[in-house]
Amino acid sequence: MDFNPEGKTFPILKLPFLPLSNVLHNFDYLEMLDFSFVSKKCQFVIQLIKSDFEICLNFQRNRSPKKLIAIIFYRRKKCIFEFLIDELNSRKKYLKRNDESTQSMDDKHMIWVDSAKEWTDYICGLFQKELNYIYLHSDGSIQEMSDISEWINNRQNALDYCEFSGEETNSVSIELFFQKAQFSIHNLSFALEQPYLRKPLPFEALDLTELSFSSKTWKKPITWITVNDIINLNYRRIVMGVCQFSENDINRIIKRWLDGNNPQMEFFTVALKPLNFHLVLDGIEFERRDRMDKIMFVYDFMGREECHIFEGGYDIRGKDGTLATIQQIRSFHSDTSKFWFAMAVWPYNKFPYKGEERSNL
Amino acid sequence: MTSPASSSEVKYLIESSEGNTFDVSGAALRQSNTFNAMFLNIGADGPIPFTDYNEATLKKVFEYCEHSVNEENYSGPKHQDDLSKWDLNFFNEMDQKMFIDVINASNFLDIERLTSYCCERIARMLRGKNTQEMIKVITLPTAEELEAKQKVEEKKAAAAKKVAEKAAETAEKTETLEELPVQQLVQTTRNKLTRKYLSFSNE
Repeated sequence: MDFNPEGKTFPILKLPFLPLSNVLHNFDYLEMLDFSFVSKKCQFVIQLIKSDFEICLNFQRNRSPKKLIAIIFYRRKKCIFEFLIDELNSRKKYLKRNDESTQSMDDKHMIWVDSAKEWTDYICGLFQKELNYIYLHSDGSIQEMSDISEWINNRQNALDYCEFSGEETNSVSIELFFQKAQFSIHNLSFALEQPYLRKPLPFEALDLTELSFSSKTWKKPITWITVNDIINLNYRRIVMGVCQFSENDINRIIKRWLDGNNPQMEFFTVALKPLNFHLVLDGIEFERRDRMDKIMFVYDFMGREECHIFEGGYDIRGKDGTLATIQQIRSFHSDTSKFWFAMAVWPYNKFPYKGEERSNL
Repeated sequence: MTSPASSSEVKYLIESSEGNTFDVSGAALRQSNTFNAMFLNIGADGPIPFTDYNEATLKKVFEYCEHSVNEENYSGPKHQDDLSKWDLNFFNEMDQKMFIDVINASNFLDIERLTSYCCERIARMLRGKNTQEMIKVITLPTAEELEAKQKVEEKKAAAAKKVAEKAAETAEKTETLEELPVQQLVQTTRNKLTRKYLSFSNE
């Protein structure tokens, strides 16, 4: 049998499912997509294959300036495949969708947004997956943000990750995105170069677990999140880049937690100028730990296991007896005049955590 | 004869769909997870019946198992250039029907290496091809061919309908009872009586 001749035929669909899925495992995802267009049966076979990756829809133009990447597959946070919008659109005839809405659009960007949504629907259906992540441009138009939010409302109840990033920020459209959102966002990330200056975003309905705020230019600290925002938010973990919170602000956040505010909080960290802990701990009962007493706090953030090492620090207890440690120790990687302030709430109110003996570290 | 012993010297008898038996080494047979699950621990009295597959197919499957028995990490060549003389011969000796039979047998016997090896060869036929080219390889009709086929079928159906209508008209005109077959005769008579009854009751 000759295996590589041009024009050779092979009745692949007559194979049992396991060998057929084995054949498909030799394909890359674009080839699988092409295979899905061959027939309904081909589509069905792909639907039956178990997929162990996450799907990300990318609307950020700056991620890859030369080529517009529409959909990215991740496995354990590593990119394993990228679909370019041009590659997808060259196959658009197979979608057999009604193109009337797209044809009537004048805005080129909205046409691309529209087709990225269509392809996401098809690809998520093909691999029997939900959309996990979405990368949005912080300068998206009102129509774009509104469309995307409504589209997600119609297709699923939750997103694992939502990121806003970009040089410019259109706060009106970002606000509209959250106002329209009826889905929850597990973790929300902002990497804005232009500070967001409008009133606090309507985060309440998002059922947030994790929040990440960073600024690519460290000369522009995050000014649009206030202490009141932090106090009023319900979250488990927050990581904030360079911020201008004072000792008094941190003191307020800690006191509110001690009083029982946001009891689900696990970890809060923010890069700040060196703090005077006499002021931070003003009016708070604490137990000072020896600096040689190192302990590791392990936590999940953005799907990864992270760890923060306390060297000494201050142990505090909430009204319900919950134990937490606070400290400002490690310097911020790109600005050595800033240090990470961290507050970790210990699970089960006791050391050790995840098998690590405090004294052994 | 068969034995559950794990020595590679042990030979097992395999029975094919034709009722023929042949020897396979224990080491080769243990590459089959189906065999391991069914017979390895309990042993088997007499030949092991793999009677869904013919002798030629089974011999081909175990030829591969015997060959790869001493290559623990052997997973088959990944590129056409990597094909050894043995690999080339192994595949070139098969026609398409036998190749499919070998895949089916390997799938049933759960011989992962051979199944993966064969599937990789099939994938190579399709890899890098667009949908239209894949359709040609899979031997499915293209959308144009389907459309043309549908048109032909529609034409045929229209022609058949015309013929049937013409035949009915002719039958109505001539209505020669002798020429009608028995069943049609009964039906025609019944229709006539019904019409008469209806006209009678209308009056």
